Amino acid sequence: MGNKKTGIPRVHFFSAGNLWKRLHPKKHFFSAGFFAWQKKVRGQFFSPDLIIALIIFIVIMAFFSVSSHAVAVQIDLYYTKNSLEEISHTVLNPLVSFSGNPFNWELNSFEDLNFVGLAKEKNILDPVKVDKFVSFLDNNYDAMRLKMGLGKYDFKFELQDFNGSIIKQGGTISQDFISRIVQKRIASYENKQVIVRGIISYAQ
Amino acid sequence: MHNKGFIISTDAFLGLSMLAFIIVISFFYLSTVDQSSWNTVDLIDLTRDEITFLEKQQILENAIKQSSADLILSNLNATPNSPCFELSIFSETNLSVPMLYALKTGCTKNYSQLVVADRTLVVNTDTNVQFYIAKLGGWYK
Repeated sequence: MGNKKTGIPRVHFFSAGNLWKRLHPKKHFFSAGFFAWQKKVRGQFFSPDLIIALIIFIVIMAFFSVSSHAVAVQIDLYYTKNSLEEISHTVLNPLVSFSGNPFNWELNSFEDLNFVGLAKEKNILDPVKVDKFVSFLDNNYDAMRLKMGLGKYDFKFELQDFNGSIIKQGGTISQDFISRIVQKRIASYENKQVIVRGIISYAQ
Repeated sequence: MHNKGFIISTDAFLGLSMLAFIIVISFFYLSTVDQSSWNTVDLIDLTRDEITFLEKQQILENAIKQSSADLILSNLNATPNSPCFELSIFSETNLSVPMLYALKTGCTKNYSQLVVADRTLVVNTDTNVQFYIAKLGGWYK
């Protein structure tokens, strides 16, 4: 089977055409048409089964690519939602539970604020702190967002009474957001029960 | 003997089947992922918020003194729509039957997950001091 002069064995590509020829040497499977040239060439690279295999391979790769992209999108969306939930809890819990740092930050300038909290005591909101917080959100939104640790997310603060009417609000919701979380807490504001709503949104 | 269809061999078929199976399984598991664990955290927060509010605004104390759950009910009804709440106040002398009870309007006691927060109250009356336990149960509709 090898080259008699050099002793190097001849290499044949395994193909449907070659196998057919070995099994049926007298029959010409590729006697005419596109593959007719195969009769004259030995060990040729292109063969019907290779082309079919390539097509199948490309189809599988395309399917896998589309599928993996869809899976990646799902994972990304889940990650974003989870991150929003985590951020919303991290941001809203101190607002209704703590007075902030310094405790009288509402009397100081924005630069002196280290950590924002709206409560006189747990779940009892201080109206002065609420007003100042809304004012900071309106006038120093981006800097306030950074101080609250919101990162790339937008934040909107709302105070609702039992009717759903908004008593106070500040901040903003992302235009064309791809994900949004509304976090609600119950608190007392001016001796009335109110719902504190924190809306965290994200747009790419 | 003619062996037709040899291009798709058994191992290739098995490989393709496994690939398809893995992809389908991954989609299935991804579709089952939800954020329900955060719902539980939200429910715990809301239940604790509500009983803290009722306690600090002395609504529980006033309800015991007036022997009426009307004020408690009006506040339970002012909570967000999705959570349901029921409040039971027990006297120290009878911890099996509540002396006051309020269930948020529009809610039924049909839940898969219940969160309970409680407070111990000391109520001064003209003649003596009484201990009470207030239990607030919360669940999603």
